Amino acid sequence: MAWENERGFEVPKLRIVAGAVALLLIAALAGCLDGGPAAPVEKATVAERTIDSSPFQRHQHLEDLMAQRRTSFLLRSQVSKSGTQYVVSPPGDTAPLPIPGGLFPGIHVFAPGPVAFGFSGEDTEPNTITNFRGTIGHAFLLGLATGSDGETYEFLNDMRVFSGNYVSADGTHHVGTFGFI
Amino acid sequence: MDLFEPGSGFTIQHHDYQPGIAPSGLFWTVPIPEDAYRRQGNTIRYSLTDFAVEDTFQIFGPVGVPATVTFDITWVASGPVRHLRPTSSDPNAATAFAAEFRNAVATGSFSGTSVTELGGDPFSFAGTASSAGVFAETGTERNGSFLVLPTLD
Repeated sequence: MAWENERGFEVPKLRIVAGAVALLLIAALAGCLDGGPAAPVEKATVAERTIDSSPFQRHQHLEDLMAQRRTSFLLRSQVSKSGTQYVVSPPGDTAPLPIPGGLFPGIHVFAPGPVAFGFSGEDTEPNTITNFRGTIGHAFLLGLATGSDGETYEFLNDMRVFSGNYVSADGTHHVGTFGFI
Repeated sequence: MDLFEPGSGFTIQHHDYQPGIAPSGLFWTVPIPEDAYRRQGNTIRYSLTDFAVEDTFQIFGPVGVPATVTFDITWVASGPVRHLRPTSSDPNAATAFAAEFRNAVATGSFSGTSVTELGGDPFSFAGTASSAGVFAETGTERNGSFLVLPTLD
């Protein structure tokens, strides 16, 4: 028997939510699910320093995805003329690093939540940052929104916040707060 | 933050607001001002105002336009503490972390504005949402270099 939560959404719909998210990810990542080793990174000169491989070689799948589909405007300046995506950690890079695992190669996030709803399980890593020690909040929120076009939309928000100590890409320790939107 | 066609079972998506994937692979995660996060007792609050993101209309959509989002979410923890420990020596595992979490209910208000795909009038939305009946959690955790994974071999 279907039951409803406080927002009036039937539980079976939640399964559809999780399934829809998974299907969207799978569709977006088609061709990136071979599970094999990352493609070799060609030799490149970055900032007058020759490197034989990227320290983030595991991200080759993601780099291919980004080169093909444009997933982040932040990357455009770092794509070489040959189209190869180089990801390096220059000295002084205080940005955090992603967790090594994830839903798919190159997608460094899990979906914690009840297995009955199609999520990964309540004991799954909610953080996207590795080398982290601190506090977190994570929630899947369902609701209704009204658009400026007069239409009503259903919306699904996976919202997370992480605040604490972390070791950055250059190996130094920091304190910071990060939001997952 | 994803907006869907009502009644479509969340299969027809109209807007997808996210901050992008960093060169390192850091997924939809960005630094935020310290005052965007507050913790007091069993409650935490995460709020941002007019935060710059991108609207790609669909998850990993090929077209993106500048957008901003505003939200104010409050988690209230309840129930017993769940003590989670790594169950694998594999750092890629979904359980490669240690934590003390409590389940919670999160509620919040959300709004956003984006330039439309065809360069017409900006699109905006506003609404409220809750995790009640779905899933939310809060607590402390450690992973990576702050954690010694068990040797299970």
